[in-house]
Amino acid sequence: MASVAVTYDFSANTTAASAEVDQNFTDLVNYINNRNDGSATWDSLKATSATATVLTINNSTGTNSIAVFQDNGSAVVTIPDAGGITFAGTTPATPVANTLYKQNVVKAFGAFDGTGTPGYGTNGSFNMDSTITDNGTGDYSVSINTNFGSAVYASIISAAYTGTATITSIGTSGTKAAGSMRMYVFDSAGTALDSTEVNFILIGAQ
Amino acid sequence: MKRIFYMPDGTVSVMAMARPIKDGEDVASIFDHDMGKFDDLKALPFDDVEDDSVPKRDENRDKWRYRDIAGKKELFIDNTIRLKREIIKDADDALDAELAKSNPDPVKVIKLQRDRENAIKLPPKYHERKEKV
Repeated sequence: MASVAVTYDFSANTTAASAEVDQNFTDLVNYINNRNDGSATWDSLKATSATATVLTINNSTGTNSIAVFQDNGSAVVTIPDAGGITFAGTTPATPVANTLYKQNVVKAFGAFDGTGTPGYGTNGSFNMDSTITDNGTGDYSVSINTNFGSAVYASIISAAYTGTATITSIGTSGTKAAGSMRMYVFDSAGTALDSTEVNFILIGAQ
Repeated sequence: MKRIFYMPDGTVSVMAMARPIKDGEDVASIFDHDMGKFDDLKALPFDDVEDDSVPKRDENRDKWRYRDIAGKKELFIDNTIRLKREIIKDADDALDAELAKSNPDPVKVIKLQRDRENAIKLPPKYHERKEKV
């Protein structure tokens, strides 16, 4: 794109004839629009304000992503339509301290009462399917809405019990799959126990 | 509604909604979707039943079994089964009874203690028929 000469020298408190301002302002707007048409690139962008929100990106009623951050042309962080943050890119062999990557984000969690018919309740789950399967006392299967990439992921499970038994063993059955997991709760005598509170967090690559 | 899966060993797994059902939702379709996530369930025979046809879930949950009656599977509580926790309790009761005597038999006490220790070592899902006791 050819360079456009902006012929008016704008400065603070500039006063000018309205016709001249209109003409030059139109030139400036045209210049910005042409630079921002999706095919051209800006060298850098910096916005500073001490009194207002510095940057607002609004896709209005559109359904495309709100923003895409790229590294060498490849998306590494995306803010999709309706919100959220999607991490992509390659995690370095030695992760940078205090940094979120696609692998270290919690991908699913759940909390339910393991007595009676188990249910997640309000805000009791994220990325879990709609059912819980009761396989027996202290023995529950759950399935994941958006699956993991494989059956290899971390599952952190805890349980609480309001009775006199002591919970000593909580874990998966070893039959974990990319989209499901089975877990057991045992008491100190190694007996299956219905726990009043079963919690789990799942982290791994999707 | 709940989906009862009939396991090859005679036990059952019960799939149920873990959240409230929304208007117009087809629960059977939800079960179909979710069971596809489980390699150990998706090939098993199953029935969809109303909630009130499933026994109350309590300490006897591991006694739930199914049987075929006229080609139809029926869920029932098999009270001939003795669960690990019952074996431990029986061992506890026998030990307490001996210790409550004015002159407990030391050899018997040791034997009962040993019975209790062995019961605790049983696998968590262990069960046996009461007739064998």
